[in-house]
Amino acid sequence: MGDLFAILTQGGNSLAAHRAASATASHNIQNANTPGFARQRAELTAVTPGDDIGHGQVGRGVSLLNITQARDKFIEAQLPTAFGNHANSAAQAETLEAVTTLDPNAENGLAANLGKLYATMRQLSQNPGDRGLRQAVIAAGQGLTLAFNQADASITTAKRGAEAKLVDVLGDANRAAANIAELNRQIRQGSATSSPNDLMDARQKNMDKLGELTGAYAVSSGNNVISMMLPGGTPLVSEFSGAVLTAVGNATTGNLDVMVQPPGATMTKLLPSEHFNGSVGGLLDARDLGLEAARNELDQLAFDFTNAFNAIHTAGYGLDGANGRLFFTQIGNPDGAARAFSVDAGVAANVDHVAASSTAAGAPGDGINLLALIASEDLDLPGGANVGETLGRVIANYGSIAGQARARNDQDTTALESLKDLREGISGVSIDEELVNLTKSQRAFEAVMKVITTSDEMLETLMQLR
Amino acid sequence: MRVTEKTIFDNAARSAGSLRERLQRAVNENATGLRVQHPWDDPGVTAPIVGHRLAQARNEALGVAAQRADDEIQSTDSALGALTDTLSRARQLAMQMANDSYGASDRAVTAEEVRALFRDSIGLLNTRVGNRYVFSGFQDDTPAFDENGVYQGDAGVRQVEAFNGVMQTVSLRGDVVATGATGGPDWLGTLAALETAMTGNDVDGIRATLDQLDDGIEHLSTNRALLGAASNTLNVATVTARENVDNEKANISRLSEADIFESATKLALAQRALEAALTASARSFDLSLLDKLR
Repeated sequence: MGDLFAILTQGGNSLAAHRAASATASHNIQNANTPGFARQRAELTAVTPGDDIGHGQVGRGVSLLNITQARDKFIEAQLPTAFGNHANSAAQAETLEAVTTLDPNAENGLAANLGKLYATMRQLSQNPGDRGLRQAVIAAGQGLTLAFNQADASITTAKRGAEAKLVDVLGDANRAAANIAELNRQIRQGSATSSPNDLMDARQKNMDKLGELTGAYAVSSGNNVISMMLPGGTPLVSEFSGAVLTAVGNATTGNLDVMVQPPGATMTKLLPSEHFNGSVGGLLDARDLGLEAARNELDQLAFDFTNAFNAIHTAGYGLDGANGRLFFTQIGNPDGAARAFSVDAGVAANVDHVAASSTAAGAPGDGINLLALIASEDLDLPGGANVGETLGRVIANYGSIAGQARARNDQDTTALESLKDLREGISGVSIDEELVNLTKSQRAFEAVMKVITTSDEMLETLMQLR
Repeated sequence: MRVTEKTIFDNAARSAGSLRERLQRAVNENATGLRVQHPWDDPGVTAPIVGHRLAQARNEALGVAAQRADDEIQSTDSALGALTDTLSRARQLAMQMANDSYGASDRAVTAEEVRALFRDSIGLLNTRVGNRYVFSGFQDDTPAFDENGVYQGDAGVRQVEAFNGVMQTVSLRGDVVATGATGGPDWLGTLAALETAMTGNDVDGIRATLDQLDDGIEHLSTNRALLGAASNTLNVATVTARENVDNEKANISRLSEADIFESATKLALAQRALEAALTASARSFDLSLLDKLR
């Protein structure tokens, strides 16, 4: 039908196609800053077949073929892991860097107070019977107590903070998993008739989020459906259902364990930290490897130092001629020793109990046992190093773990930003480009309008024939 | 690579954030003067910093201990000096009264002075530094001698740690100094004997004390020499400790403190970099087709 009415009809259809192109450009511009949005393209095509008028085919205008998205699956498949790595090292670094009581230069830190204890004992060695100097030694012991207790408390605070964050993160992960499952369903339904671009954007955003939180990676289940798996192989999203992660208190360790109820399952199972990457993995590693390791080393140091110091102190005699007294409260085992570290109540209450003398007869001036206590500064503890070296090792180990997490985070940030830039380069909206597309659509729209106007004028001319 | 407005804005925000963090670090380093505040700032130097801090505290304490011990030795030496003068006076009186030209009344009067010298000696041997009787051994809350010249202290000799792990004797026992313990002369007993001889007008007895008083003076001199040697050691220990403290401070500074020129340079560079990034970002923001299409 190559007649004038057909041109009018085709013009109307072409206007709709250009309006769709214009609307797509407009949609892109409006979502230029929307996270996870992938730019869309209105694909126009000439309507085929043309009208055969005997000597050839006359075209029938343009129509909208499809609205597609600019996506690179190679890059997008790498992003959840990159998000996971970045969030993992960030969570570790931030959690570990919250502990400042192990700072080597802290004025009231462990090193400073350990130095003060031995310094006051050296002063007392000048005059072992002096009660003022004895009090200074006890005060220095209490200062060291405070330093050990505060170091332990700051580690505990950091652990509790990490666990509070863990609970929030698990809630966010559950929401993201549920969203992905629901979006899978909607996308599958929508795919039957058209390409559900915005739903796919929303799903990608949730996939990125779940990857960031747990380190889960995407696995295609076919038919435009995505499943998400943890690095340990546990599914977090299986097509249309999501797993549920919960934090459950462990009575033995006193820590929170992460349990998972896999998609479609009714039972929960324990997931060790190595099953996770992302924020969850970072928080668990910071707690179990960084903080717990530091606490264990501090506990061991407090335990060994207490035993070594007390062994010498109990052999000595106080001003009252009695021996067998502890200087630091005896601790049964290393577990919790830094928290339990304290000056023995008997010594704290009576300066005469400081066992400076090697014999009852030698009191008050015999400082021989005090000299032995001073010499304990250089005695190797069971770990093979003296108390100062051991303390330095504990602090250095902690710094090394925290420093590695920070360095890894710098690398992960670079890798993530690079991937995000690549994705933005492919899927991101260029306002310049969209303005050109919008103008192009506008011009085409105007041109089609001109076609319609011309056809109308031609029809009017025909109708005026007498 | 295709660059979108979001890329430009994101990169601007990222670089500004990163440069502001760098600037903050530089400001912090300049403000505190510390390059290593936390163990993770440079884990490799953390253990050495702890070691140097403990060594600094140890040497400070050693220096104070050596200085105080030396002060005490000076007091002890002063007492020995005064005792030497006392014995010299006693010997002078003994020499004088050993002369036959003096009579019983002269010797009786002189005996009073010898008794006073005996009491003075007891007083000097009961010298206190602070609240301690320095000649009493470990029983330093008890006077070394009672009024009759009986030693009340014990056989203890105090030592202090002069250098790292090296002990130095810093006290003298009163019985060794004055009453012949461990084989020395009992010059305190000699003084009592002199008084008795004076009172009894016993010229031979007086003459018999002369050699013993000489031995006593020499014994005191020997002990003063011992104290002098200890004092020298403690002086060296004090100086060494001070030098060690300075060295440890220098080590800590080298490891943990920021180089002021390097820090200032870092700060200036960070400021410049941030300014440049902000300027570049602002200019790139201006380039948009939005401004051209009307």
